[in-house]
Amino acid sequence: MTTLLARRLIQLPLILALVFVITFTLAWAVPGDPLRATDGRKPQPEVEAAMRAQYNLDDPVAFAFNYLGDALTGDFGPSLQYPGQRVADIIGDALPVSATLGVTAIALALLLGTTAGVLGALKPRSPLDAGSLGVALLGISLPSFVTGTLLLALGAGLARQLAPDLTWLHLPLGGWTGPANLILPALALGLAPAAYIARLTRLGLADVMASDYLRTARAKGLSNRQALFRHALKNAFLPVLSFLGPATASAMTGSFVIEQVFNIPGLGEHFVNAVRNKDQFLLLGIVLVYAALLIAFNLLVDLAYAFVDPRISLD
Amino acid sequence: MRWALPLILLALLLPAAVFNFGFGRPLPDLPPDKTALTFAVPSPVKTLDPQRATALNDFRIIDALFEPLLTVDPETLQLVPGAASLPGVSDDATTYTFTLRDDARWSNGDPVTSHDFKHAWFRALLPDLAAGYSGKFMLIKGAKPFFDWRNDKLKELAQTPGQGKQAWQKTLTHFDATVGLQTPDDRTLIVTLEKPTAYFPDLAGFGIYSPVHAPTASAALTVDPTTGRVTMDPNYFIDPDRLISNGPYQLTEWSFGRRMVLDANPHYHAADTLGNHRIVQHLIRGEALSFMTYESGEVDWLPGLPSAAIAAELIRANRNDVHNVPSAGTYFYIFNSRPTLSDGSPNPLADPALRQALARCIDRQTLVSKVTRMDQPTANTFVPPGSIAGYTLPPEDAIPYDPAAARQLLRDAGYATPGHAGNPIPTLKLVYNTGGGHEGPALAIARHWKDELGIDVTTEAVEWNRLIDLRNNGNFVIARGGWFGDYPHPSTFLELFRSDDGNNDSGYANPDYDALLDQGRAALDPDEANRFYEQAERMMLADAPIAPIYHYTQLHLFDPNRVQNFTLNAWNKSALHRIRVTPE
Repeated sequence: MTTLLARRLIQLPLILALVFVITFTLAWAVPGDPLRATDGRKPQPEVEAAMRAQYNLDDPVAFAFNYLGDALTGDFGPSLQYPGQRVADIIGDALPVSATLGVTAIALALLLGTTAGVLGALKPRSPLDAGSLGVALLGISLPSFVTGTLLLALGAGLARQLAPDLTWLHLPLGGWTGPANLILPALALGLAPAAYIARLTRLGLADVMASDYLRTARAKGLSNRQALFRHALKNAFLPVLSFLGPATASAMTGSFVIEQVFNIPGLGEHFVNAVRNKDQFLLLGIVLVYAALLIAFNLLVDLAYAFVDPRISLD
Repeated sequence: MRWALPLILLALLLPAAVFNFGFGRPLPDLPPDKTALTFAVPSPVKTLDPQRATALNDFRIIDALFEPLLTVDPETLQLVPGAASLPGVSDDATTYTFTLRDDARWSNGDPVTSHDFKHAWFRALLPDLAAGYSGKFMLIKGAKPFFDWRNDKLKELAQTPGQGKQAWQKTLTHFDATVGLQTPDDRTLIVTLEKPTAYFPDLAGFGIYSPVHAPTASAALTVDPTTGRVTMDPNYFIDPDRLISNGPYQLTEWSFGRRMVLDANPHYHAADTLGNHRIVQHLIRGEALSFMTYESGEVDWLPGLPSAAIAAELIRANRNDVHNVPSAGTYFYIFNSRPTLSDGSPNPLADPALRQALARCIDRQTLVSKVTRMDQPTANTFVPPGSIAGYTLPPEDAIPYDPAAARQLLRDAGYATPGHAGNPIPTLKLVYNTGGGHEGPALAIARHWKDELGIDVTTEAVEWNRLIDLRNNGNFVIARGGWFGDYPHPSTFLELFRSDDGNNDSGYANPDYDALLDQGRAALDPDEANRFYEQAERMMLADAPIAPIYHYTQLHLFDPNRVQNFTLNAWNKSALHRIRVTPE
């Protein structure tokens, strides 16, 4: 295990450097001009040149070196779209929000998904099994802006219309003030991963339940349920664990659509707008953060693997 | 189940940690105030620096925080005294003398002086700090030469590092000596212009010409010892404890990406005329949510619903809180008017007759009622009629919808038309940007051109940035365009077609047109000026470098019984401080 950790920690800066080079090249190549007004109006050529010089945008090499030098001290530069706001501040404010939403969504997904999968495996081919697989299908197929807007309209809107006086029943109309704001967006964000987890659990369990050692366990007197919980689940869980790593990293760095629909001040919109407006500083900052998170979560998953199944050797 | 325990522990601890982490920066408590003007915008304010701003969203707040020399009355759209009285003008329209009010004060009590204006405009003219609208200061005498001089200085400094501080002192003296901005005393500002420009007062009333508190703003400048470049501490325009304003409001809170709060500036010279004492601007990203928030009464006013779907329905519903108001902007198609395209091949639209025919064959009325369904005013001219007092283009100069006349124009020019032989017209390509509802009009207009004129038109949707690049490089035949005016003067529209204007994507180059613009610019008498501009527009429309389609509108939602004294006009001069919000 220590060799794995050591290897990953050495790889981290190398991978980040590669990510930086690729992103930097792509960001430079993308059409657009962060210094242009939103309606497309161009300043005079001399003014435009002066603006580019302020940020080293006319010299990619100088830009890259200045950026790396500053980034190592934690200064990710100014945002080009929002003059005056530092990238580190923008990410520092938005990442915790997206992270909270993401982790809650994944936790919810795990809870709902494994429950659905386990129930289905306990009673295969029953209406419960078919029902939960059906809901899983719906969760995977519906795009997030549909589920999000539906939940908003039903959860927040309908309650206000049908019971305007029962204010305790009214879920918040988006925003980010307290844990109550988490309910609807986490549900919307977690539905699709829950569906995947349900399927993975259900199918994994079905596989494992038919194996020889399970048959032995049941022959020894364990009930179906006991066999499942005591033996089958932890082995069927491995595919879910693989899925969880990238899924959590992705959920934590923000879902653009959910954050738009529920007005959550997360990282998702900055991710998209940084590309749209060619805000190179913000874009590089966010991509590097995302890459670091992804590497960290994949490492956690690998460690968890060894923990769950001692036969797996990590070295 | 040894593996379950750590998982359960994780399941309990992680959310607790993340909860504290995620909600760790709550918004400051704001006591509910039913008389505060609360509204929601869909995108964050980019900057509050008056010399750096370009977006409408930003100017709305900047106009509330800062007061320029003059302001625009929201009802009459005339220039009225702001921080100064109306200027004395020299006979040749090159020298403007402004006298500041003696009761003009900053939010910290300091008097507003002429040096505050001079320092603010100085910042716009420094290449180190230049921004999108800096070009609008270059009509001041010596401004452009100063800008170039400083640019050269910066190049020198890059070769010989370490001279930064000296160069900065020289820069300050050079500006005083060569640029036409004199401050003989604290209350007098004399502006000398490069060329006679009768519309300078309109610029003086525009947000970018706002003052900044010179002592604190200049203290926020730092000279980089190696490059000699000057940078401004950006925190100055973000931190409510640092930002000093001279307008009706001061900045109380800016929670970026969430909320902005302005409170009445106690030192504002007209503080007792304020209709409300607090402005709360929420950021609500999704339009479904912003509409629901408005309906629930949590915001008083929604300035603009981007979604055409909700907007069209609301316009048709009989609601007294829906205000669909003309905006000073025009939506049009740009015709490439150069002799050749960017790749050297001949431009099919180089012939004005073909452009005129296309412009006359757009069924604007059907477009706004059935395609966009927003009932925008149809545009047969470029400057929206009625948007500028005293400026009227005679109806015969407008571009009509007349397919028969269009066909006749083509025949007279020798082209083939349905049923008549002639020179074939090549297939034309129309480009527009995705995501703005431009597809409907594009397909409808292309189809109509085919049906009525027999011209094949292919359409292509490209991403916004790509469209701008194509337009800037002249790499198009027909492209979707739009333009908003900055202040109520015809030059803000018509200068777009000056042959060397950087935003003149059509490539229209007509020296006679440029000459008329120059005459309009120099004419001190507004009526005389308007006549020159009208002639210019007539000339331009006749050559048809564009086909105007409709004039923009803005949709506002607010209950006029509760939100009172709110005059909507085409120029977004909302005068937020006059609005009175009465509790239910």
